[in-house]
Amino acid sequence: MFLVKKGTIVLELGDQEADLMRHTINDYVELLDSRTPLDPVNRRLFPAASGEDEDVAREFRALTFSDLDAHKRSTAALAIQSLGAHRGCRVKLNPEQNEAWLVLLTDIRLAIGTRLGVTEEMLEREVDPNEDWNLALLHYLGALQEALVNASEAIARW
Amino acid sequence: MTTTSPAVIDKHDTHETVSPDIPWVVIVWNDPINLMSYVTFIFQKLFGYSKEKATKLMLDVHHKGRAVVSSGTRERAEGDVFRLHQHGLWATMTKDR
Repeated sequence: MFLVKKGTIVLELGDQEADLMRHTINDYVELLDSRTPLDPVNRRLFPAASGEDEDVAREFRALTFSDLDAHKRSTAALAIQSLGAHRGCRVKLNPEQNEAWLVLLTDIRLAIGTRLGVTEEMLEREVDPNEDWNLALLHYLGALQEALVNASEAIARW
Repeated sequence: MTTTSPAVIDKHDTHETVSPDIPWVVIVWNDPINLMSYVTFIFQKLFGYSKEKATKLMLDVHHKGRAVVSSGTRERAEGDVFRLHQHGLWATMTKDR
C-alpha cells in the first residue's frame, strides 16, 4: 500500500503482495516485448493521435513511438528497482519513483482491462478472485492506484 | 476515412498546420478503466489546472465521452498528446474548425 509518512510517500508491501507485483510487472514488460500492432492492448497503450486524420496519426507515431516505448520500460525498471529483488518492501519513494508507479499502475490496469474488454458496469460488480482472477487483480491494482493518487495529492505543491 | 491519393492531401495539410490562425485542440476520450481521481490529478499535474477546473474536465470526459483539455500550435498539441499518452490517457489532436 502507498502511505504518506512525514511528507514522503512510502510503499509497503508484504511478501506475497511484492511477489505479485514483480510477477505482474514482468508480465507487462513481456507484453511490451511481444506486442503486435493490431492487438487492442497495444493500440490502447500506444494510442493513435488522430482517429480521423491518418497523416496526423502517422507523423505523431513516427515522432513519439520510440520515446513512449522507452518511457514505459524505464517506469517498469524504476518500479522493480524500488521493490527490491526479494520478499516484501517498506521503502520511501523519491519523486521519480512516485511518478513511475503512477504511470505503471495505470498502464498495467489499461492492459488487463483492455484484454478483458471491461466496461464501467463490469467494474461496479463484486468479484470473486477464485472465479475471475484477472478482474480481481484489476481491482487490487485500482485500490493501490487510488491510494497512490491520494498520497501524491497530499504531498503535491501547487 | 479514405486512403486514396494521400500524397496531395498530406502536403496541403502540412501547410495548413503552420498557419497561426488555425489552432489545434487536444481531446481526451473516456475510457472505463482509468480512475476518476487519477485523471483529475493528471490534468492538474500536466496543465497546472486548479482542482476545480481539472475535476470539471474529468467529469466532462466521463459524462460526455470527451473533453478539450488544451489548445495551441501543432507542436504544443503534439507535446500535450505525448504527455497524456505517457500517463495512459486516451488523447487525440485535431485542428479546431
